[in-house]
Amino acid sequence: MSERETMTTYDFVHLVMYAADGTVKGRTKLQKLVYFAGALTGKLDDLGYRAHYYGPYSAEVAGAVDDLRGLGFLEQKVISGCAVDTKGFEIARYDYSLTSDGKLVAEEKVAANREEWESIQNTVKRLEKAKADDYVKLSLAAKAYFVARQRSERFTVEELVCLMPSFSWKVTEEQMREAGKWLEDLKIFENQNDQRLATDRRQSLELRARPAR
Amino acid sequence: MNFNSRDPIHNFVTLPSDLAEVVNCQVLQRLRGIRQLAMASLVYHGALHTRFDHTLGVTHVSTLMAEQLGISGDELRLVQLAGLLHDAGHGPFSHVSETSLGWFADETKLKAGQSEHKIHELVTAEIIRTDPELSRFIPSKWREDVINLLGEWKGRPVLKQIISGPLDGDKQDYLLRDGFFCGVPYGNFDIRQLHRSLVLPNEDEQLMIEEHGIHAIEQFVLAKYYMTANVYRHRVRLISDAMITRAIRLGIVEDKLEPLTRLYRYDGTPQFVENYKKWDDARFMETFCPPDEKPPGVKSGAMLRRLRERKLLKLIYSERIGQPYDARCLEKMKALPKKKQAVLRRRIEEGIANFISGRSAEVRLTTESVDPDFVIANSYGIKSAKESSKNEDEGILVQMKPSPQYFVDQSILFKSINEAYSDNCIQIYAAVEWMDPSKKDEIRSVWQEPIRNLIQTECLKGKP
Repeated sequence: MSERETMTTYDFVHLVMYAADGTVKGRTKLQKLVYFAGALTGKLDDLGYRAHYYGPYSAEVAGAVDDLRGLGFLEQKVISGCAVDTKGFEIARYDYSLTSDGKLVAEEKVAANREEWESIQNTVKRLEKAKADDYVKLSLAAKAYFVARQRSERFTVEELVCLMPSFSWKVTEEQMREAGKWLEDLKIFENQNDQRLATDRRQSLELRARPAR
Repeated sequence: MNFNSRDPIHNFVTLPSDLAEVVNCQVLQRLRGIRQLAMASLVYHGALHTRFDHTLGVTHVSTLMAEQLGISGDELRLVQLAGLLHDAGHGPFSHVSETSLGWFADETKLKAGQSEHKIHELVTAEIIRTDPELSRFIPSKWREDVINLLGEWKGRPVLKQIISGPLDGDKQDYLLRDGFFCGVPYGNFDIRQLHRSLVLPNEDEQLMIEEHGIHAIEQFVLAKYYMTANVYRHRVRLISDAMITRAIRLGIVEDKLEPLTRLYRYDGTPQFVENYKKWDDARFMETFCPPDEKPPGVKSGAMLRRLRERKLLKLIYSERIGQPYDARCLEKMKALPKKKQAVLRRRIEEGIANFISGRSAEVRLTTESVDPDFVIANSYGIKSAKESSKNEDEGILVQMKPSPQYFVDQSILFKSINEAYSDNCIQIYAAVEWMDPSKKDEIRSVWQEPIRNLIQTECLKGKP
């Protein structure tokens, strides 16, 4: 990537990985980490996220992970024994870490894109501070944010829950209340880069804070 | 009366009579002149099947899938129309035209939001939206619904998944059809069992498979992997596709052929689409490489003549993109076919032409051998078998309690394959003839290091 080019999804994922000290545990977590990093840096619309069964998912981000692996910049380790499914089979977790070559090339990108790198680095730190380590919590928050972004008018937690089935998602009010709280702590609706959300969502949050019926 | 057509893959393809009128529209009949696999018949001589055959096959398979899932009425009709029209925007030599459309589009003339789309998708949408004959048989609202279903669909997910998803009718048909016509058994899978296992847990939910379908899906995914490795990424196919792409570029840039420029310089105007709809493989070859006449363009004509006479460029270098190359080169090498790497690719091709000019002991040199326009630096990737289960989607879901699981985690076969990434390769093709063909592998191995050094030097130019 040269200095003048806009950052591609591939480069963005590479730098998010680098900002996360080169390691992300779990492919769901990686998808959601990039999702929120995109939201907080104003890049979300360029990352190709769509509504999928388990929440917002980007084939472009998954493709970027494959490309990084294909070039030997990213290693995937399959960790078994994290949990078992209903049949007693182990559910594997996929952990990702940048290789030394991956870090070397990331450094080049950092040098060529100082401003964007600082934004990504600060964002990933902010997410770490917000304890974005639980992939279930991240998935619910991503669903809530995904639906919130589709609408410009105010809505309540109850309304948010009612909107979810149109994306094939089932959630409870309690889950959405928690997700809303997490998003609020992250100050995601105050993101200066996300002009569409800057005003309306602040009102939405006030509504979200209302007690459940 | 229903439309019935014998098909070598699916036996009878049957459609309601009103859709037969759509089949007979010229935008679909044109696809009879566009081969499904461009010039793959240069290596698999049976691969002469067309986009039209595939179009009927996709519509048939999509219909079966929809019926299995209880989709009927207007929704079934929408799926069938999308199946019939999904390839309406294909140009000469199928996917080769997509590359050139993307390369030569006049982006300054694109309307708001259009630059986010691939050009061939815009062309498809424009044809569906504006073709006068189609509009006689399909009302405007329906045509817009078809365009949306082929693009950004906001309706029931399952309709989109039948048309474009990891298990869509398109893939099911092309694997079976391409395998059959190429004479390779790799495209086979148990399509009936696959369909039997399709399930829609709730009306608004995503398409899933039941557990008894896992083996059929394993076959389907492996078919995709084997077909990619053996047919879609076959050396001769890669070379012939690269030669057509280069011929188009030479015709527009070097020979300045106005009809070729008009064919590929998409500007969003109705005139572009009107002209585009008149082209197929045969007209392209007759116009730019007539068999008994001088071609209108010197360079493009010479490249196309090589294709017509099967005097293909030779593979002189092939290596995996990875070590021992410097890590800082790899991304550029992978992106070599892209427009943004045009300058680098040209420098590499010039370097190779220069390198070849001193190799008269190993290859017979001609004017074309040392012309950088007849050297092609190319790269491509192959996804692993595990990655082949995904497309532009999250992956195939298996319906399970308490919640659906991904196929790759439920298949015993695929669970055992830990690796899931794409393998990338860089290749150089040149207009050379080996002095002694029996020694070509030996010569390639001697040339490997100097060519690798040349590529690496060019990639690292400007780096500390």
